[in-house]
Amino acid sequence: MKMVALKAGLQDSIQDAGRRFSQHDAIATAGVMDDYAFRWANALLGNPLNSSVLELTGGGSAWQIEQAGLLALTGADLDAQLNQTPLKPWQSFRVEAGDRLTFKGPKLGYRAYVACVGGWQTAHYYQSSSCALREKASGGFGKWLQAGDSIKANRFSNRAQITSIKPKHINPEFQPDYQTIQLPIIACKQNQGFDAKSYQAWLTQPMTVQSVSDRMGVRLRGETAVVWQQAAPFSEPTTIGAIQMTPSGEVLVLMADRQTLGGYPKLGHLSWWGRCLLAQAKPFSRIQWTVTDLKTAKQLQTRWYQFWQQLISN
Amino acid sequence: MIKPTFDFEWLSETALLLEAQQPADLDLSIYLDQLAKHIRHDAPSFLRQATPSFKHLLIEFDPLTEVEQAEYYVHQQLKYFQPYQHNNQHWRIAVEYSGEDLAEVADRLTLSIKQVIELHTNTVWRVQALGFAPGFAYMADAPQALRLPRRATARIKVPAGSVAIAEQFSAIYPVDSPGGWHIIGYTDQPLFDWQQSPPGLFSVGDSIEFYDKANP
Repeated sequence: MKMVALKAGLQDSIQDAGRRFSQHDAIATAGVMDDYAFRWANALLGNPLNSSVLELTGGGSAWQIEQAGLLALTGADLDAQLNQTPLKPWQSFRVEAGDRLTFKGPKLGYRAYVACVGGWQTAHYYQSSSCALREKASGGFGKWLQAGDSIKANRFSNRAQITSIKPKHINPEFQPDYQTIQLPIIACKQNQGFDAKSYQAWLTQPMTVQSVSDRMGVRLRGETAVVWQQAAPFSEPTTIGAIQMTPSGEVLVLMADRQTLGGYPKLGHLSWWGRCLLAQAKPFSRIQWTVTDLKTAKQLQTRWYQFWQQLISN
Repeated sequence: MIKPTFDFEWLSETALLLEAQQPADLDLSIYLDQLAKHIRHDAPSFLRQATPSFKHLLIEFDPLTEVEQAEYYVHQQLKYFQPYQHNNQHWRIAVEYSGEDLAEVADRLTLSIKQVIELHTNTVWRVQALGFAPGFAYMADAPQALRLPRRATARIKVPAGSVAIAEQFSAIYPVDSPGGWHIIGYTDQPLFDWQQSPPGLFSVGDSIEFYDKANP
């Protein structure tokens, strides 16, 4: 499997679950923005669930297939077409040399994942094929993909192998709703530093995704401001999904390419599921918070873990 | 052996933050750095990151993890960890004190430029944390007379090699990046190389002395 970018989107890159043990060296974790769609893309092809995938942000890319293979597409509906025939996400499909795969633009959701059998070939850095684009680091392609870039699978599949695997669809019950995005938020100790009344009001308002959002963080703007009543907190290591209030009053949700330390007050954290959903919120779309607690988030995560264990063993 | 006690806070189902309460005679940044190393060493695959900072240690897990198993592992590591003698690395860094904020810094601190340079070169700085950008080391502690809050607005681009101060810290920008600190000088010392492991020159606990290139 091999394909060439005829045209690349503005923020397309190869990613996996992210770098391991990098943050203490001040190297961002990087990795996919939507972990849910990422695992499914690999599961559809029988790949190890951490295989590298192509992350397409917002569409605007076109690919020429140079070697036949089996691909999987999950996540956003970026108005994909295979040889001008519409192609919906959450399925695997065969491609032949000469085929053309295009992604026009976001219809539903914002980030799509394209997996190939065996994962895409890249350099590795901190045990990962991901790269954080702001760092201009090696690993992955070390840059946003551009027209002319050629990507190929780690594993060569011959015709018999390609035809022996049946294309699959993911059951609609596992396809998330990207239309109304409700983000589960978990409170944290620092919440006590905010004025309780303004914090409660802030929680219930819808917020709008700002266009300057990127893989470092998603910026949100709402009507009501929250008042931080204490001295600036001590800088601490940042985790994905941390919801920070910047000095200008804007809300910044830290994502995959976040800087490794941060000292802005935190309004809470998104659960794993919340992070996956936020990755699919396109600029100018609206999100709503839904309060959850750690226990519920952990239960969901345990169920999720067991689900994959079962799927792998089958 | 003195050990700090920790407050545990799960920030999300995949991130556990430990906040240390510091006993008086303990170098916390070195302790946390060693503890993080200990946790990362031979760790099970579900452990993704163990990141120390000034008084925190953040442990992050793969979303496909059995949480109880993860928690048990961390507690075991904490229980059996013993700090060890730190091998101090010492660096001497040549600086050209011609930073674009130098005059303003002197002005705001009611010092002469010469006094600012003296305070900066007479301090033995220690790396307390790595973060913000690849290779960026937070060096403490600035003498009281040299402390200023960050600039009101950050610069979009601070050139690599800029030597800067803010609050109790000094630092060198390893790569071109945005920055809100006061730039007092520049150095040619390379601080970062992707090919090296670790890629940054400095480690937590290293000591650094700056000297004036024009007046060595």
